[in-house]
Amino acid sequence: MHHESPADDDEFLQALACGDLEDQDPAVAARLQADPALARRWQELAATLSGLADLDAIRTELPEADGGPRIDAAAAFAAARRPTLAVATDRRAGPSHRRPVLWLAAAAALLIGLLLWQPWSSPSPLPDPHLGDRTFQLTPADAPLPAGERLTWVAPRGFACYRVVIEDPAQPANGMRTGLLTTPAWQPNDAEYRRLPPKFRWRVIAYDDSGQELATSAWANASRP
Amino acid sequence: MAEAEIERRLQLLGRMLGGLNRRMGGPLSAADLEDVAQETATVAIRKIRELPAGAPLAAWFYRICSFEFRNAVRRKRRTEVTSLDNHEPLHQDQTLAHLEQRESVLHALEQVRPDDATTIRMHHLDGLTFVEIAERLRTSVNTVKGRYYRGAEQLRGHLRREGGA
Repeated sequence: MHHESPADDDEFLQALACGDLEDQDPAVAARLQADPALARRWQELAATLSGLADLDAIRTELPEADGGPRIDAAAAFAAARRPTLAVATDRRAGPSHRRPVLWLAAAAALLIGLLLWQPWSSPSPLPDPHLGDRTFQLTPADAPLPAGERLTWVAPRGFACYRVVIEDPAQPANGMRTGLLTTPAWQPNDAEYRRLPPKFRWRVIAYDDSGQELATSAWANASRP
Repeated sequence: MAEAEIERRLQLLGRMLGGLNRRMGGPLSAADLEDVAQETATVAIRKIRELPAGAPLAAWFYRICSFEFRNAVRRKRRTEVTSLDNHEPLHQDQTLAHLEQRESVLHALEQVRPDDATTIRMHHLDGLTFVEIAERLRTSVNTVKGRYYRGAEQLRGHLRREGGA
């Protein structure tokens, strides 16, 4: 169906958003090319529409989900009625409810002291500038990983745990990942070592105690000799 | 909302969680899924009473489900043994990120003007065409398209402010 291109920018974008016009249409493409600001608006709107189009999938995912877990509604109602905060503190009951403030002040003073002392007391680790975001130092990098050796890294600060991600640069979709590691090293066993691509790249993701992702190193190249 | 009505809707949570688990390649066992379903139901019951009358429940339920499911998958991963033998394809990470992005869109949609948001939901979540929406709302197709466009523009602004799409 052919639609005239409206002169008004909003009407034009509305027609594009509602599918009355196609941005592949030569006349539409020419108008967008001639007006970079309008093209930028359409680009952003198209990204939003793409996010909306993704919601269509919710509808199609549901029918195939029959047989999902049953919910014990009575238990859920009972659990929902239970108070969520089991511990209540009465600040007036203690002899000195100002004490936490004093502790906080002492902790802040200590922290400031440590911060002032730290830079001069020990050299900070210098990360390899070739390795990513300059905060992780990965070993090996641009070097082979011999059998029986470990992938190791120095992180900018102590994270709760890490995960190693390994990719074959030629086939990134076939990536592999370790479980969570509490030390900054990973040694593949024999089977794992054999599964490593001859040439691979690897990086480290760091997490906090709650499993929240905190930082990611850049990729380092390595190989399996 | 009456308990019977809430209970009827709770069964939808189970289906949603089952669908999400299948889509992710089944990272949660049946027992895990039962636990998440029960937790999700408890959260939903606690929060449902805070919802304004006429709030779009299906999208709201989905957002809670998706959030609880993602948390459960992340919790489970933290307890995994360190081995590549059970290597997870990276697509699980991508799927989690995708779910998070979808939740952002649904959340932003809650901040769009009600008439415009309703049009968007009817089009994308209920799968209605603009003509069908116009018939249901007893208005013109042009009005529906205008609301859809206005809603999408508001959404774009919200997502941009939240650092989304």
